[in-house]
Amino acid sequence: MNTFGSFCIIISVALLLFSLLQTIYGIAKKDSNAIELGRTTLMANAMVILLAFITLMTQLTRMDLSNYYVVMHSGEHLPIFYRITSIWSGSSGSLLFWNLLLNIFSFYVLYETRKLYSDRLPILNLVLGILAIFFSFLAVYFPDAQPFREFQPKAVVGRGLNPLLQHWAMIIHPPILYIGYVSFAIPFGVAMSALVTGSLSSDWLKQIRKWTLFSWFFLGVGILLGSKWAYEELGWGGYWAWDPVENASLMPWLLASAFIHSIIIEERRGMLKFWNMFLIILTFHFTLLGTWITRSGVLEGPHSFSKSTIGTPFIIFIIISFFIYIGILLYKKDKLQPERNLEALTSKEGSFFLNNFILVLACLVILLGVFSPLLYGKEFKSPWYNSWGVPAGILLLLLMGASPLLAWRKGADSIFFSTLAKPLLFGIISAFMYSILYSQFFTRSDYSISDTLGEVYSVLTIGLGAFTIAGIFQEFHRGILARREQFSGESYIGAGIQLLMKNKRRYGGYLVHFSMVLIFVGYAGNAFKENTSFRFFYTLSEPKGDEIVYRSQDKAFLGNYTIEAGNLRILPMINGEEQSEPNLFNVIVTQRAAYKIQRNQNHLEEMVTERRFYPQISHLSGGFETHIPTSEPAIHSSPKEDFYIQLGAIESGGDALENPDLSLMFMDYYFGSKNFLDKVNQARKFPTQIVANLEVWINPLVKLIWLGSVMFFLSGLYILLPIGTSRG
Amino acid sequence: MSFFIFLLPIFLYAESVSTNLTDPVMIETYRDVTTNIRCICLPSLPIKSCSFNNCVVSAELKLFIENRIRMGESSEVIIQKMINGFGESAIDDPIVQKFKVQGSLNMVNGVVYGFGEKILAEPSPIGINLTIFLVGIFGLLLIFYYFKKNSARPNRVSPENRNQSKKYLQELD
Repeated sequence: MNTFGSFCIIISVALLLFSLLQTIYGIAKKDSNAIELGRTTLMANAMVILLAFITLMTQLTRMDLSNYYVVMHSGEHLPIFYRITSIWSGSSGSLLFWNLLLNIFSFYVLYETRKLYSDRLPILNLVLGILAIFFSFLAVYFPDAQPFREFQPKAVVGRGLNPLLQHWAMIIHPPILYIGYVSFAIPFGVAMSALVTGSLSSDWLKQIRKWTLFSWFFLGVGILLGSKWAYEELGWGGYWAWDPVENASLMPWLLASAFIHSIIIEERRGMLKFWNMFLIILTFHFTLLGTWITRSGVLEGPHSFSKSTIGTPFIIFIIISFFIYIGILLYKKDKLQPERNLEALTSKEGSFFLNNFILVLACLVILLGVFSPLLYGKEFKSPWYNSWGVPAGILLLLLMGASPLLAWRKGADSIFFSTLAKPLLFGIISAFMYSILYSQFFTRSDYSISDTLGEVYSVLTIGLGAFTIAGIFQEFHRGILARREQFSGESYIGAGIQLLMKNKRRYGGYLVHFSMVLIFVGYAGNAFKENTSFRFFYTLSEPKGDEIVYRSQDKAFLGNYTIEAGNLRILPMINGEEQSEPNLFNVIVTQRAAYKIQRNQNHLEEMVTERRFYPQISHLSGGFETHIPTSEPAIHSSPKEDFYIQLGAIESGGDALENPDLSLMFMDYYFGSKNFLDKVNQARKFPTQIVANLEVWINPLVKLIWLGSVMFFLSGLYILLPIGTSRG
Repeated sequence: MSFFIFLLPIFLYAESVSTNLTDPVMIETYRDVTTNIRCICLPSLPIKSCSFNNCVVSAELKLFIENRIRMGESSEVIIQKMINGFGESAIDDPIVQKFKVQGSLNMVNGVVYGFGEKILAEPSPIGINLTIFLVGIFGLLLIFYYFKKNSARPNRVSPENRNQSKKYLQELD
């Protein structure tokens, strides 16, 4: 099957080369037959890549150990579901997936335009064809992009999927992100076809807008899913670490956000034509850059992958492509003159200018931060990113609130009392109330030091968030009143629904803004985050069947929380089918600790947190290599705050200074005991006393982030789906 | 004006932290040190944000820092010694003894002889902040220049071009 898969990729390169040559010939000689042949060949490539993808998926599900990718990313014990999703867990599989998505989207667009006669379409073919051939080229000539490399001689077993990826959010997060990344090739292609052919009336924006919203939506959802995964799975109490891979997805999303807003200006006022073209070129190349950052291994981070052979050709392609398109843009700049000028800086147009400025500057900040080891010889971390990110977020929140209320062409002073005053007043009152009440609202430890600047930022966030929400309600209210004047039979709610249905773009956009406010307010809770670690002392008890049990009666206190340690059990978990016979490959050694949590001396919950040790099996010998630890935090979530605990390392409680390797000892106990006496002897080898570390976080307002995320998803979906009517 | 809000956090940024120390002055010292020293396992985090679960070695190093604070050393002294070394006498510390027994000789040597400048959590951001500041000023000037250009221009779209484009899009719809 490796041969067949490789053959598919080689055929893809040949097909695409043929397509490009035919298209170029057709453009040069104005030969419509050649252009059509070029297009159908490009469409056929989608089938070839799909075949290659199905081949790899078949190999993964069947555990074809002659394939290098299968050996390194899948395992016999894995449930079938994880074997399928491991197709995007590694470099070459995910690049094949990228290629597949690109071809599917290209096929769709080329099919959609099949009966049109326009000089733009061959250029669109060319742009998409060049992109597709690059990915197929990588898959043929560079080992780290080759999904059908032979593993000779055949491996004994598969190494299995990284246990961190065995989580529901990690299943859907990569494909959603990739859909966001890849689909941006379509609006980019359409824009470049308009630019190259000089057909630059503002109407081309309408088609691009749908695709841009589509990409922006999927990127945003992918980023939020990644945060959710990090929070639930990594056990470090946070959801965003400004990791290079995280930043790689955020940068194009910021630029896409800028573009979504600035095309409104071009549509309504005929301004920013040159800037919009520049922005779309920039955004698309940042999606490529994001893929490069994730796959090249040039920049190390906790999530990054090992250094890859595709790094150099990929960055060369990005640089050459970027400068070529910028060159075309500069050549065509005379055709992109604005129709009107900016008449007032505090007008709606002015606020969009500022919005673009902040979003693009924020992207630049992140870009410089990501490349800081290469550019400045130093690595900048979360505090530095936050020092720029938090004020940028606050300014964006201000613009989110103000922009919808401002008028076209007129300054804010002309509409202050009629439109801005009430929401502003509401925001100021909310900020004032919050500043009085927050010190009693949030849980504080006796020994923590307050974060003055963080508290100031949280007050600003609450005030501006309230201002934005009040503005949204005001807009809806005014729209409903206007509608009821026309349709007097409609109820208030009915009129509101009709408003939403008839003008999705505007009022759906307000819903998205609302979701962003919730998310930002959730972020503001970080100013009151508490984190500490406790050590609990345990004593060995009689083993229970296959479990080793330790008991404790220790207590700890944090703010108004009491944490009472109970049992700490070491037990086996079967990875894969529950009925499977336990063996070295499928047994996960689990350290499971239970804690009774009280708040204000009332019982809250018994929380159970774990550390799991997944077996890493050698693919060469089939023997046990080592354990890969993962975290399973326990989270008690309430609207006010999350109480988050994670079991940490376990140390010996006696005089011994070294940490016992309990997971390895358990393997001997579980697999090495032939009879009851063996079991008892093995159990006696465990330390009679241990000290377990427990990390505790109190994360205020996190629930708002997830609520805002769900709302972002629903409102974005509503805007994208063909329900209701969109008016420009 | 709004751009200059970005400059504020360079001087005022701070985060809260919890510790096993109880004296307020010691807590402040601990906060200073753990803000300025990076996590051993995760260089992108300061050590105070690095949990025991993420990095056992960093958690133990934090205990070592607490011990030095209890000995009366100031934050500046501890940070300097993290770079240049605490000397042979540091081997007597129980945490360093633990590193020795565990075989973490790199940690022992780091404590005794110094980790070097790379142990710092927050390198000086002057260069990078200046770059961003200059680009930001340039961007604001561009917006200002755009604003100051001649007022409303005549409509540049010809009726013919608009009809062709509309036909194209109608076909798509």
